[in-house]
Amino acid sequence: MLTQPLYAIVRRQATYALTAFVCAALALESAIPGAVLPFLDIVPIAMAALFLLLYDATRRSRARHLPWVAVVLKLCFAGVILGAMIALIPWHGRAGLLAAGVIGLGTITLAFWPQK
Amino acid sequence: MRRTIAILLSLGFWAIAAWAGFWLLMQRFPPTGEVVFDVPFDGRSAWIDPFLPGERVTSPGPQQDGWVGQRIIQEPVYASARTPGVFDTVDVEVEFRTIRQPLLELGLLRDEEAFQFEYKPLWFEPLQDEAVWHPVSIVRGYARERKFQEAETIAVWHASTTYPALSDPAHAMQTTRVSLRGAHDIYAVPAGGQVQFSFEMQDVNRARGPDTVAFRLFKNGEIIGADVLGIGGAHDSGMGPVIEKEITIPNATPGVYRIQIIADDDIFIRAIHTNAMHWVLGPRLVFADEVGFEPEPRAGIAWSNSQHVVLETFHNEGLQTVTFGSQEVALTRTHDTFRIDRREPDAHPQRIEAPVGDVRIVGDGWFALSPEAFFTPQPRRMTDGSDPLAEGVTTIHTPYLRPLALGDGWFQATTTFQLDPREDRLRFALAAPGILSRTGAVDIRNIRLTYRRPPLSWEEWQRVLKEELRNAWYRLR
Repeated sequence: MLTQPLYAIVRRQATYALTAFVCAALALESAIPGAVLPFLDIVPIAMAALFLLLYDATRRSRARHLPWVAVVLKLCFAGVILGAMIALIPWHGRAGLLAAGVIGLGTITLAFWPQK
Repeated sequence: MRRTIAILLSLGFWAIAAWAGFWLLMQRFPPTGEVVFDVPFDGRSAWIDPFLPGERVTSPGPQQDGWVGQRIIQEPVYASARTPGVFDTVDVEVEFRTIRQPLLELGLLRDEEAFQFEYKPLWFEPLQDEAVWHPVSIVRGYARERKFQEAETIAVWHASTTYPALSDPAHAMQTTRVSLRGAHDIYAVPAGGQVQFSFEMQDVNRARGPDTVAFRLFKNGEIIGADVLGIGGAHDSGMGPVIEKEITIPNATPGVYRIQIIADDDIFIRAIHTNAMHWVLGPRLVFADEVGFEPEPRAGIAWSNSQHVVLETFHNEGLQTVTFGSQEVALTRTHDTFRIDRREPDAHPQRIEAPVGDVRIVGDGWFALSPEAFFTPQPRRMTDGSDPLAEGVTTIHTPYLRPLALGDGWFQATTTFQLDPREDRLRFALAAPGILSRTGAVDIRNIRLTYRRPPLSWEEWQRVLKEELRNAWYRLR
């Protein structure tokens, strides 16, 4: 852990926590329609998870063996989130899409912020 | 230090994610067993959609005269609500204002295939007069006078009543030649300990293809049997053969028996044979046309104790003058409703005659096809045309609760429906009979939905989880 900068550790853990929440929420919504979306616009949050995950897939993996497996897994999760978001597009209005755009841009900016 | 910060921050993110997931679950499984959605009726809620179809309502949101909500100008209108989980009941609290509309009913879809709604009373203007109509808890309803009431002065509005224990001596089968179209309800008194009906039915195939007729049998309001008749082939396109269908209830004890015939408008009844001395139809009677069956139209004749009837024809050949007692109305347009209102407080059946048949009649009473067959299985119903004071009604059996006045003509009415735990969506219907003909309107500005089930205990948690898993399985498979 200490071999990585603090920023990278926190970003990676935030990515995984966010991805876990988004995947759980999407699974809940698909099994029980109306369990998530009326309470929470998941699309902007899923957008953030997607960008963080894609960015994380481009970073160096900590795995000693088969590092490409981690990359493929992250891309798979990103694909699931992207697919779910496309399915959810009819669900939310202009405000949700705007929020998704702002979060997406913010996430990209943060993810590509220069680090030591 | 860096290690601690990293661990704490990472744990913080996971804790936030876990808390968010838990919060979502708590919305679905509230420990109190109660979820409330109090939503302005502006079309923006995820929990209830605005009323449809669009040509019968205005767009939800700000209205021309400054209020926010939706105006209903024709009926019936429908709205869907999303259930927030497995619940037993829903209280629907509606804030509304009526313009020239004395009666409103709110329904919940119970049978999707038959498109049948369970309606509950929401508003009845004559009962707003608190000085005249007093709530009566014994019979659940409203009464004008606290004394024994004659049966003829009692009316019902969405209430069940005690059926009389009626029976007649044995009687020979008699035939009534009549053309009736589509679904009907027949109420009969057993004769000689049995109820025997035989229907000559025909699939006229105006919509090509096979049809099914379902029969449901009730005694004193409780279902006692069912039967079905498949009629017409898949490729039939012309007038089908006349098929006879017998419905017999042997060992029928005294009471009132109801035969519910569920059929679409392709099914015509051409004759009814029965041993019943007393039998009536209602509240809907549809005299069919004779096109392709008889060379000449046949008059539709019945006797009814209705105070109000609504008539409608769907063919130019059905334009005629219909008489009801001493009154008459000319049907001058197709697909439009015409009314006859009797104002005298006399429940004695009057003759109703449609010279060329081909008319749909809906009344607040019952219809017999011969005067001697008439009987009243239940008190008459309250309708939008009812004026209980003028009609001599003294008691109204109804679960209706007088709405709360909010000022400026707005009222708040609440009604409760039992829920099926398998339903994800509820489909409501708002009925405002006669709203178009009296150019009335109903404004709705707020709806509060309260879903209830027992508070979460271990047993309740198991039941709810089991229902949720079963529903999820059916959705995902």
